[in-house]
Amino acid sequence: MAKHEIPDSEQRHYHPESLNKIFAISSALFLFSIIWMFWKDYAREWRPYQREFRKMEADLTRSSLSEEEQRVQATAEFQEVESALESAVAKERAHAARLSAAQDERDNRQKEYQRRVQLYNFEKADLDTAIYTFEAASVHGQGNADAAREKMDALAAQAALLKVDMEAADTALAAQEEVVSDITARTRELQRAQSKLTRQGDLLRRQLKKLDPGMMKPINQIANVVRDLPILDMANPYYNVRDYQIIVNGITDDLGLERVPKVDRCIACHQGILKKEYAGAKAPFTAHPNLDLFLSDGSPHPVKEFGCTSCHGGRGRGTAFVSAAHMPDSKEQKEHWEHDHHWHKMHHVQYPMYPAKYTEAGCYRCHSAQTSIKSADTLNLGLALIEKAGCYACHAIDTFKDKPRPGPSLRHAASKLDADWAFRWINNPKAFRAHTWMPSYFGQSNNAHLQERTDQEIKAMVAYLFDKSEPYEVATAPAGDAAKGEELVRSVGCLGCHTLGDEAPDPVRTVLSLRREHGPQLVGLKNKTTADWVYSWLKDPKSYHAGTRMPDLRLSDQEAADIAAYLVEGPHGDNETFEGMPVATLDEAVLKDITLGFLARTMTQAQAGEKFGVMSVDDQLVFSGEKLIRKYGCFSCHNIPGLENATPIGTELTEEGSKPISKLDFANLHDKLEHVNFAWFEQKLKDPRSFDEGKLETKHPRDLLMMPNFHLKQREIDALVTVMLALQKKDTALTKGVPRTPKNVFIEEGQKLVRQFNCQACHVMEDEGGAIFPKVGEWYATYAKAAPAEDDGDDEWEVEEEEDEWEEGEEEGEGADPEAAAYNPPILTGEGSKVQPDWLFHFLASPETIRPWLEVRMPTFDLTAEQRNTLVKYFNYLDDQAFPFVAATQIASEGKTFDAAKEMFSDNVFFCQKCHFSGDTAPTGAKDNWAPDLAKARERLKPDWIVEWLRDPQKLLPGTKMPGFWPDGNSSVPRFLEGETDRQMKAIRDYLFTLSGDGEPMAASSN
Amino acid sequence: MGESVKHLVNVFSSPTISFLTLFAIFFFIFPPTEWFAAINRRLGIYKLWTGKGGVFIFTVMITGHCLSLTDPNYRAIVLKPDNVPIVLLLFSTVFFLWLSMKQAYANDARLAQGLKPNEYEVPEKRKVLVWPDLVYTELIVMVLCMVGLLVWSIVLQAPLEEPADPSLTPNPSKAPWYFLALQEMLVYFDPWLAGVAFPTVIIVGLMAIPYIDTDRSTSGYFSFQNRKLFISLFLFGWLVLWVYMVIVGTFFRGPGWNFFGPFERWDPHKVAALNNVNLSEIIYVIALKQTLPDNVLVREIWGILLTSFYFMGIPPLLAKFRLKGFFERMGSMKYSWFMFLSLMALSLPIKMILRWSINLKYMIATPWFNI
Repeated sequence: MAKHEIPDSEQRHYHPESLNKIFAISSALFLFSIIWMFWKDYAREWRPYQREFRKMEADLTRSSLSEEEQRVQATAEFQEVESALESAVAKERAHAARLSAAQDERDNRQKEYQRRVQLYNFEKADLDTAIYTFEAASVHGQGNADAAREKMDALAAQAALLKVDMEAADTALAAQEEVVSDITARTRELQRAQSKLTRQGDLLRRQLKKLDPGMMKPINQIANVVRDLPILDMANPYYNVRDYQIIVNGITDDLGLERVPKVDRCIACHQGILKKEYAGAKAPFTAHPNLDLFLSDGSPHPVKEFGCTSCHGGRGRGTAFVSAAHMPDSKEQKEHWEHDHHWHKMHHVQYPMYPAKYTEAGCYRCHSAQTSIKSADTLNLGLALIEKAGCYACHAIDTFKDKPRPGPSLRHAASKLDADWAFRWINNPKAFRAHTWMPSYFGQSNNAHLQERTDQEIKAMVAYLFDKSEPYEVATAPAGDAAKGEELVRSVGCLGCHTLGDEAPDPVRTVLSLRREHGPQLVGLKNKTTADWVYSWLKDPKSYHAGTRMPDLRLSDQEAADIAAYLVEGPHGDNETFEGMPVATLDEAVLKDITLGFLARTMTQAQAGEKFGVMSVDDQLVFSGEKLIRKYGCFSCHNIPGLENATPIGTELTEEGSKPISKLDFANLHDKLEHVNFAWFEQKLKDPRSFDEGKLETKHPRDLLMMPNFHLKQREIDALVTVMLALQKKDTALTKGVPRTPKNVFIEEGQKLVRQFNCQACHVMEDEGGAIFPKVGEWYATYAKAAPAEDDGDDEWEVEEEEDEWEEGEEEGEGADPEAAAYNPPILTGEGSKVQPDWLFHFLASPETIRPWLEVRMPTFDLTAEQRNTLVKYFNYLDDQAFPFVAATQIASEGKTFDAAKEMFSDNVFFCQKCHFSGDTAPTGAKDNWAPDLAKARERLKPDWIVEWLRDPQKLLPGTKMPGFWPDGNSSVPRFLEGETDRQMKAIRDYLFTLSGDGEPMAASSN
Repeated sequence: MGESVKHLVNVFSSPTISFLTLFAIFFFIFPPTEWFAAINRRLGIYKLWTGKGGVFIFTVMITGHCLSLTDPNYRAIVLKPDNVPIVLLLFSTVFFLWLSMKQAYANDARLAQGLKPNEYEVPEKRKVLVWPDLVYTELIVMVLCMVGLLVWSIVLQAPLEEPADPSLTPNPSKAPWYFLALQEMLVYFDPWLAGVAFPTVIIVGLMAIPYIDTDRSTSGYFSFQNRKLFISLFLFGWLVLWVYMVIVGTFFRGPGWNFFGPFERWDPHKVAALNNVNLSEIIYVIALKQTLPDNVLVREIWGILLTSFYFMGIPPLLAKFRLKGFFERMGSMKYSWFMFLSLMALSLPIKMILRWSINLKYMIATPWFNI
């Protein structure tokens, strides 16, 4: 073999020593970079969080363990068991020798038994083989069948013998077991009793042993450290992400060309999110603020089914603060995050997390069909604002597409308004009504300097409106009494939808307060119109504007005249400041410029000049007026003659939240605003014209931004931005939305109508509404209470007590006189289970008096049969009623039961007529306690409901004044009908069904 | 002061100015002929290719780069993980250029003194042992490469973007960096030419080099003096038409493929006018104040004539007069290829200059192809 030798350095191209050095250095670098790589992989942000949380968990478990131990040890039962156990153990120790002998014997027998079991099992295995061999030989002719049979039989016999042996050993063992357990029986029984008492503590201790290394055995302590060392932690680490990641079934993330299952790893850091003990703990360990609604297993949104990012947005797969695409709520938080977490925006994540204040945008992903989303207050406010401000009129939004025009009709403008008023109003609506929802188009940041031009624009628009106005016959009002009018306005229910001039100038708007802004604020009517017009409007709103939402309150001529007198002549009827505002005079030069500008859009300059030459000034005004109304989109909100079918002018907002940021023009605010869509939305709502900043000199006036200013407050802007973020591209793969069951669909349709007709201004429905209640309280304090009560003072039974109960239950009208609550419009909770569908259907068409003492009137809304059906369905599905038919009930109008019921009904027993009307008969008790007409029960109420109502009124309508006569299901009058609760209640129900209009039972039975 | 310098750089780096400047000074730095070389010597440009020159070049580059990093717009574009390789390319290209030129000039000086070039070794010593010299050094290089890749991957995260969306084109839409020169050509040429013809010619041209430049007298060592023309032309293609275009495409092309200086914000709403006209329009509409002829052939005849002259007229004319000696040395075949490739390469700067000077869109514009 030739010997290979390294050539001597003379022949070498490189110097070997220096090569070695370079090699050593590069190897060291290599090693260093590999260690760096492993370290980088190991040093994840979630790891320290998990370590810290483990300590928190251990501390919490330790303290609850010691609490639990103290609690248990303090119980008499435990002490008893413990002392008994001590004596039992002592006794057992006395028999130690006997016990150990018995145990030794038991162990021997155990061994013997196991030996025989094995012998038997082996023999049986051989036997199974022999059986197979025999079958193979006899059926398929493989080998000698006879010999095989012989072997099989021999083995079978042997196995049978062994089985007998085994069973004998088993019996012997069992006998010995008994001997042993006889000696230890008492001790074990007591031990079991003890461990039953300490079970909770034992569980905690076991948990603590896993959490707290200090409680581990030394070997486990070492393992506890080793399992989480870098590299070794690939096997079975304590700290990991996998245990906390949620793969959400049925929800996928859209990656453009593909959908992948949603994987959320948020809990890897938010370790306490599911545990209510961590409410208020520091970030990121704090518990979810609403575990009853989210995350927990029993809630409607369990984390296993919905994950986290389905609602919150963000990158669920991210396991670091930045890569999870957290988004700061404010500038301060952003700076804070940049400092603490080196936060920066993840530019390429399409759906970053919603900033906390916009979180409710996530609800809309599934709940977009609902009119109001339970406990999503910000989102609800935003949706209500969109409706109130009429955003949808200019900006198409799918979910709002069938809504009526939000503004009043201007079809007959000339019959109602005068031109000067219209000019001042368009110029500055807020000056006329502080609360108005008519936005400001003029005097804004981008056109205040163009006042000369805009004044003429307004003039032109007013000219068009008055030129095209259609005739409307205004009736002449009889002389009205303003004082009476005021009482009417404050009592019949006007204030459910309207506010007067006595409201706070700068209200904090809520969904509830917006219900009272359903109609315009009733101020300045003297400046705006005449008492005659108001009178005509009140008498028949539909004749002026067929599509109006103003209902008919069935006012008499005199009532209407009184109200008109109050509104026009009353304290808020005249706005002098507004009246004093200047009206621009016509400037023909500016008008010419405007007119020529519009003409030149469709023709050449020369043609435009020619056309202009033959136009009179009026022609110019009307022509430019129409163009301007088209330009500013007035027709989107108002019904304007000649522009009924014009297309809305705004950008569609249906998918605004998914719009790529590059499609939002930040213009010259680029450096001032955060480069995120919600910052843009916020700025747009704050000052819609601000994106014209720096362009006022270069843009022609006609190209300036036109979105008007709604003077929104920060909270309102936040709510609207929440909605904008919520308006996302429809997720076609959504499987967890609100199910499209008939129940949900009917309820949603009903909710839309309830919203459209503002039912919740007066009624509480689905635990919301009753905006008018405080106003009823005010009315009561001013008018009703001041007047002497008709018949008070002869209380015979515990009205007072009942009232106390009621006070506790009542939540609305805090601070208001609780007695005023009797005059509130009825609460409609449980209406579906209460009234008969047929009755409700007719009642909605023509309301009848059920509660004669109320001043508030149920208006006539002119609902179509379809709408009424929708509402009836809504109420019934809401209460899970069998619909549409109600079972007939057989009613007896005579006999023993009937007599008993009559007696119970009478003033001798239950005093029903003390509070309830029955037909024409008024109650005998105080007016504050009056209750609905019982003679209407037959047509109105569901039979089953009456029984349930009598059983426990508080359950059906918490806070009601109706007393419960069957407390806890026991009759308070056992002398009737053998004291059987159900029979008594049914008897009364049946009796009610016989009542006729005069409050007396009818002769014939009916249902 | 800083701002006005930045503004100056922004203006200067616009392709119109920077390209023309580069075009103007390039042949003085890498002189293809003795005439250029004389000026080069007179100005002392060759001193760049010395140790001191290298220090100078890199001091300027590194200082400029570091100072520029204080600007947020510059930082945003240069430190984008995608662009890191191109910054490295910039520095390494200059370094290797300097290194090879330094060695070439050193050899030129030795040759001028009648010495052998630096690379020369006696034949029996022109061997390197596979083991340990070659294998060992390869191992070291391998280890260092691994170190480089590991550190790079740790320090710079993968520059991933949002999931691809067929309905949404990113703005700007950029090719991978090594194709950016081709994309830049698309600004000046028909896609058919810039995307198909040019890449083919580039590859064929590179393959053809050994067959055109068959002079072996200077093989085996670096030398500039003995093959100025070829080196100069090749470097022009490589540095100006490729590396420069990659840099422009990477750093200076922003949203809307608009040009942005290194210190300018990438404003997606930047407005730039593109009023380009075809040669036929220049001749008929602007110069002769007529309408365009309907017949395509008549309309485009000027462009066709000019282009034909460029490729078929210039080479014989040069062979006859200016490059007579060269033609005789090369022979007609090699000469034709050489001229074809050179004219092809030159057509890009010519087209760019025409675009900037007279807004020329296409020499020949037909519904089927444009040149």
